[in-house]
Amino acid sequence: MVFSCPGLVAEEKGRALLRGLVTDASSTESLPGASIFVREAGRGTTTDVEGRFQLYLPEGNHQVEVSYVGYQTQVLHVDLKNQAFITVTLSRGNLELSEVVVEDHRSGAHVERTEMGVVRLPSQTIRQIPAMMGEVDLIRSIQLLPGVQSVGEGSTGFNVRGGGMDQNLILMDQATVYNASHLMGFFSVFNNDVVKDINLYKGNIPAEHGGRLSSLLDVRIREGDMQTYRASGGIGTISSRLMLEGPIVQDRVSFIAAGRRSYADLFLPLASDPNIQGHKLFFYDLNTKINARLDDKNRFQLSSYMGQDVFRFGQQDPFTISWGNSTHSLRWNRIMRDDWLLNVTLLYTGYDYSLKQEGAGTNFIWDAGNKDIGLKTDFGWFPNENNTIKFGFSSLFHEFNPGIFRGIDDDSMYDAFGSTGSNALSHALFASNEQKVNDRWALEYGLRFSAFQSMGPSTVYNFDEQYNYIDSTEFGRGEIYNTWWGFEPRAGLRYTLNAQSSVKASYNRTLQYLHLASYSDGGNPLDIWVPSSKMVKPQIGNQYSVGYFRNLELNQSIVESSVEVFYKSMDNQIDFKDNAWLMLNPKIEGEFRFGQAWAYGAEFLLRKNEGRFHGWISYTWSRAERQIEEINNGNPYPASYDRTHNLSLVTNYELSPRITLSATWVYTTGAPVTLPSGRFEYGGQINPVYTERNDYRLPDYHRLDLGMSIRSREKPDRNFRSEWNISLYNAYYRKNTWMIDFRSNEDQKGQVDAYNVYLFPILPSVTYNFYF
Amino acid sequence: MMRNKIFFLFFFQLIFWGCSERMDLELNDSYARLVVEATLTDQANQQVVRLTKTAPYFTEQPSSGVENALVTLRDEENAWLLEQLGPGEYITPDGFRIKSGKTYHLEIDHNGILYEAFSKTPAAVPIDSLGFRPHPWLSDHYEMIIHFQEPGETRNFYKWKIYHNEKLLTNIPNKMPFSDDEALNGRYISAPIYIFQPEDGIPQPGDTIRTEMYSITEGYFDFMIAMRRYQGATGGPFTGPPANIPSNFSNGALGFFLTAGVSQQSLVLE
Repeated sequence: MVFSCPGLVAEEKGRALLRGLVTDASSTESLPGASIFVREAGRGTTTDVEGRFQLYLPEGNHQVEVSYVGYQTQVLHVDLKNQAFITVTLSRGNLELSEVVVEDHRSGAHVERTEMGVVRLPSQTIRQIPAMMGEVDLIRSIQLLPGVQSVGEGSTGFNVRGGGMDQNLILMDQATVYNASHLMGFFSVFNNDVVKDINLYKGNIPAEHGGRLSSLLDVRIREGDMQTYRASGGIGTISSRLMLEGPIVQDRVSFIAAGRRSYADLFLPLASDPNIQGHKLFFYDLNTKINARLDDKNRFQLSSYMGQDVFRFGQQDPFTISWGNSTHSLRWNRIMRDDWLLNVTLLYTGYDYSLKQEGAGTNFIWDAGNKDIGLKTDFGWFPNENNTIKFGFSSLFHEFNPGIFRGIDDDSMYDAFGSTGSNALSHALFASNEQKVNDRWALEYGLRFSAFQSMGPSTVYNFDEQYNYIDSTEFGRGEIYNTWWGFEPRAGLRYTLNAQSSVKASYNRTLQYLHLASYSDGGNPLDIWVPSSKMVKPQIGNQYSVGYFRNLELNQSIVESSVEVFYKSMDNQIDFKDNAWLMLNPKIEGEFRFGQAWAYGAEFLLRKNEGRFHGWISYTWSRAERQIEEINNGNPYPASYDRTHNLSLVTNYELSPRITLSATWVYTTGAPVTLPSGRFEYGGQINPVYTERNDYRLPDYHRLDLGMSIRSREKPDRNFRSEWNISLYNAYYRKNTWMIDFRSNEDQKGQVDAYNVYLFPILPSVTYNFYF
Repeated sequence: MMRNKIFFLFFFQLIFWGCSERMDLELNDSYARLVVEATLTDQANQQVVRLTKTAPYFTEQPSSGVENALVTLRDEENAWLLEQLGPGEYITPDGFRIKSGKTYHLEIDHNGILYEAFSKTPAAVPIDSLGFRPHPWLSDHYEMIIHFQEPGETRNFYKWKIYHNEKLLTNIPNKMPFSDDEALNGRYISAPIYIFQPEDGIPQPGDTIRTEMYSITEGYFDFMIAMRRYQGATGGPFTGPPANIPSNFSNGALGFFLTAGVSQQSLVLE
């Protein structure tokens, strides 16, 4: 269904505000992105992330059409005087079909929205993509979208439009996730069973969010069924999952709880080697959420996530490495009289890791991490039908522990060393407006003011201009010793050419006050976040983009097409000096080197959301380069995530109501890599000599994944449903280079051979899911 | 024991579970540079300074020695000219011995270009005794334990050469354990320093295990770390961009000049 642009400006005699909430009829979960349309007035809107909408209409009788793909459209008759609030419940269409037909909430909507560089994926779409090792992963799905790529084979780290992996802001129900990966990055922390939907902003980051240069990945967790108890789960190759949901108070309060645990190590006790029996190697996730609707106007949500990876070696005196995130948010939504909305969110988020050796004498523990506690408040105001104003503030307290190494008890032979850490405050004020100027023009503009204050207790190390350590300064508890601040304007405009096409442009300025100290671009659990300081300036990003959006028609269904072009410049970018030491190093700032980076590219997308055969083709051409005085002799060099060509083909075919086939093919230019230009012998071993940074490329990457999902036959007298998902990762066994390894030839002394190290052969997997 | 042990053992080897196959790779060549290998100790008598050149990465030839260089060693008072023994091999005079605490200066004059490096000799630290026991969680592996008093008043850096029945097991730098005294300064140390692998042959009762403990300089410690870090794999998402291994020579020569105090201890297994 496609709207034509409002043709007539309705008579503005008596104007009234219609507001409401759209929910799923059975679970009463809110439906974000549902569409509301009043035909005779020629007015329409979509629900926000909380499932709410507001629409100005002339007073009088209206037929309001509310639709959401996969659901039956509802038509309501509303007699509107001054103001009204309605709750609209939508029933799922054919249950089977809704599992199959997957949509970007409403086909063709991308032409009308002002925002660009934004991608939405409902969790159903994510579920249909063939899964690596049977683990459905939302980050792996967004890597198939234009402008987004994986940091490496199998990794859930991602780069957006030539930005670093640490330049993505990842939110789970509003709380920042600092390290979104499990098992060295092969799986993300998001359990798809509880993910409601995700929004990825590649540009056009709303003014209410900030703190990272390149993107915002906003993940929303489901709220739970308010009417019936349900359970679902799955048994896979890597992990098992179980999810429970239901009402605590019918129609008022619901809960959802979901857990996942990997179990490779559960088989270890079967090993004959008693040492291996004691090993542990697993990760788990636990999501819980309570959603309380006090009345039509007040709602509370308490959302929590906890997860951890544990690697333990040995039984007596074991060595353990563990790391994990925990995020908690308490959110209050209030719909106020007189066109106002209020959201208040209390946030806590933390990431930490530890390495621990037990045993007499040699015991030690090394732990590090960071924590945020804060408050965010924002208001929505709808003064008239053409403006949607949002404003608010946020304030966070940060605690950084870059790592302390110490003996566990007095017997330990180790003294403590490392860094004592620091604290900080970050604040932001923001305001934005979505303004419909006329039938053709729409604007979205906002301004964010952000500030970052370093706070004691802390020891600050001072360096000269050559990065030589001079001395240190002590700051007491609560003392503020450095402040950075800046304005971040954001603007976008849309010009509608006709009902089927529009042109959009946007400008985005972003500031980043936290920086990831990582040896690699792929992320590692031992990476730490380093706050801006006197020496480390905030990163600054400026992004310009222009796009053309058009809906095409193919066999009576809509194909969305778009072309977006972007240019991004990034200042105060950080790299590390040669042979930098980033762990347990109190003088870590002396290892930083500063410079600039830039990226540009063009993104093409063709996407068909409807019909038995659906999917998308995405192609990105882009460049990402960096220049840092002390690196590569000051010459520009390609960023390690610079991939010229990036193509993804995602297809789904509904063979029968019970069987769906899917296939995904990806192709990218090989990653830049630094390879030796010579060698020298020392102590009987061969050592490399390098000249230029990233002057070679790994071979091109391509891969085909296939998937099939078979659902159980629907039985009217039974609630139980199940499905089998079978997938084949890397179906034609491409030996994609993960890294190049140089090994001394065993037979020919003094000769070195290069080896292509690839991670995955053909990887078949089977997952069984059930619902009741 | 720390820095290298935890970091390198776990975070590079743990993730090394891919498959691999040989590949052909074309690499550009860079100009040849001088490479110096000079480790002089307070132990042995005549010691050798080796001069070679860098070579294309995939060369099949062993590095050829640099001939006819003038190699001069100096301390605060004296100077010794090293005699050329063979191609690229220059030997210290008979009776010459490094003294701890003294700073030495190595100067190489090759084709009219002067390359020089300095090294202040750290004192040897005596080892009380050695121990031998099964590894706590690697089956069929054994550990060598070292017992010694770590001096508290100085920053110390160590590397160990390990012998089994006088066969050198740590025959290349990357097999050699090394450590600084961060977190250990002034402590009495009783800690594992080496893991005997089954493929190298586990020492049996009656066998002798021996270690030489080199007191090394901080620069050499960094040099060892870099050698280990940039050995092997590149291009993976975990390795990060490689950098050149540092050197303490001027004018772009590679390698290292180290003067070290050495102590040793051995154990006959029962």
